[in-house]
Amino acid sequence: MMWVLRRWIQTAATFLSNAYLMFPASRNIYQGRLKSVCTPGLNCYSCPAATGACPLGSLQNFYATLRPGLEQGRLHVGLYVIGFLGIIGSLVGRMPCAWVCPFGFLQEIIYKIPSRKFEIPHVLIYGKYVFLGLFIVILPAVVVDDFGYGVTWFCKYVCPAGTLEAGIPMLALQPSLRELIGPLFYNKMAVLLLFLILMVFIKRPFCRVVCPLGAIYSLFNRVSVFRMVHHPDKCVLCEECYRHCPMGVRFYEGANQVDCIRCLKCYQESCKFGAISYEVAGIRLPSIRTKRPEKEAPAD
Amino acid sequence: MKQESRKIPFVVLVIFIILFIIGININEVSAVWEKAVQICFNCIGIG
Repeated sequence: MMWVLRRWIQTAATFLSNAYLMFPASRNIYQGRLKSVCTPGLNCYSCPAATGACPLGSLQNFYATLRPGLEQGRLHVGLYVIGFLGIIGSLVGRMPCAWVCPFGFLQEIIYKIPSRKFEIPHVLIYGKYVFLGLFIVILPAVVVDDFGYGVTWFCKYVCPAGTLEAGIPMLALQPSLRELIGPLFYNKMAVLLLFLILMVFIKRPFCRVVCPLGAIYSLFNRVSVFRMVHHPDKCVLCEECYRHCPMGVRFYEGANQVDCIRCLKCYQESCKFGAISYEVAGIRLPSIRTKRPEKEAPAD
Repeated sequence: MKQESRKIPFVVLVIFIILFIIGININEVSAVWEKAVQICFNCIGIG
């Protein structure tokens, strides 16, 4: 089953992104060469167990040090990270959100807590592009100190993954850091708590409204090698795809929408009528189910 | 239209492979590593 396979891959990706198990002994983060490689999902590089670099943290650092770099004749604008994300995006679009992002995985697990569930206003899904533009690029590059250095705004004021994966564990590992706790930390804890609560009631609230990494990948959904395909002639608008979608996407309103994370749940488990399939490099793969909508049986 | 849609993903892919290679050649890998091996106080919420 695709669902079981995805859970296994999500678990493996979470473990591989956080495979440095020596941190209880070293009381520090991993500092090996693997840290120069970005993880495809959102995973804080200051998590004591993190083995790779956070692409968002890396991008912000490039823009926060843009001016001093230029003064030293060094033009680093994050092409390595942009290229890395672009390669993944142009191959599979937003698929990493569904299959390898540890924070997305966490949101899906928490959403399973039984409760009344809510939908978010559609307009909020564009919030992630505001966070991408403002907090990842513009503010780190523009708001600078006397020496020209900016701040990683998203990490500092928003990212709940950093608080959860790095803040709490590092404060537990290094008691000396606790003396530095101030309003900023409480602000970040409040953001984390807010999202942890929202995750119970709303499908992947952070991914849909805030995540700049998802925003970057989403730009590739329509032009990636892997693409979802909708067959309107077979679709009966039963909304089963919407009910099962972990992102609350109404697939029948258009394949490859910005919030489609290609988890393939609709394809494998929801659609009974073969209205959903996918293509790789223009080669269309057949629908799993090809059952046509049955007409009502005539009354005897 | 179908032909065009098949080419676009590969054109996009090639563009980003080129950006990736340029990034590696101008030593951005080291810049990523240097930041990633230090504890990010901003991420923790004490910076």
